[in-house]
Amino acid sequence: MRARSERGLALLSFALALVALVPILGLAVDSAMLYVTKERLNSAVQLSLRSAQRSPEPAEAVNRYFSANFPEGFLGVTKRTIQYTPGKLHASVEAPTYFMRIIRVNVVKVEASATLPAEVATAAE
Amino acid sequence: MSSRDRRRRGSTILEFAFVLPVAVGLLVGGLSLGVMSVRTVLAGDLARQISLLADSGVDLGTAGGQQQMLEKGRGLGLESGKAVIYITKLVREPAGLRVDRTYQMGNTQRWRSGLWRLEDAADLEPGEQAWVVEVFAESGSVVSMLPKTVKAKSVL
Repeated sequence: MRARSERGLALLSFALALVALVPILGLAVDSAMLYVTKERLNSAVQLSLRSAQRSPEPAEAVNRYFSANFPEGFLGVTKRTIQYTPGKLHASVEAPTYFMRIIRVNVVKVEASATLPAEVATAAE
Repeated sequence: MSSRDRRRRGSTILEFAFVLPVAVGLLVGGLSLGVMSVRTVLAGDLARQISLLADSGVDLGTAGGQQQMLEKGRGLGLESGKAVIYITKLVREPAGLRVDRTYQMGNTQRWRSGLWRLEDAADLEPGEQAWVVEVFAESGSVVSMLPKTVKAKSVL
């Protein structure tokens, strides 16, 4: 009976397609979250460095401004580190993943750097 | 049409009815998340750009300043009520934080500024001043489980 053998074929095909679709969608979701984290980190690094150059104690100010622009726990990130050298700021965080855990990638390190233009950095020193 | 054909057709329609909600859910959910992340990035970028604009000395209260803000916020639909920008200049005085001036643009009826506790906005040292820019915008999501608003804040 041909009709009986074809019964459930659409459901089976869809279930098989889901096995491929869900990881693809998951990867897209994780990538989007990481992209948002990267963008905010870039912005925070740039603004903190710029703000710090106006302060008499830039090394301390950079921490305060960085925290204001990239709050602790933003999007669930952990291990925030900031490295400041006059005219330069580098920050890194560990961003959690939601779907990439399936392939045992629990966190992804996101980094951003900013450098002041030479003339601004000299003026600030 | 024979009864066997009719049964087969009915079974296909039934299977399609099972598959469709899941497929549509995945598609709409994926699209909504995509749109939301793009708008989140746009909001963050707008907040950064407006802080830099304010810090560069442009008077945001003038027609020229407002026009520049409007142009930068076009991507988020600032002119059509889909977003709002609140710009506040904070000054740290011995008595505490003081609001020096504020500007706003967009749909102020829908979103209110979140600066109701100034101390939470920025940790400033005596004599320091900073521009705090808040951006609220529609997330563009049609899925009820996802947030309806995206927001960004920058301090410079």
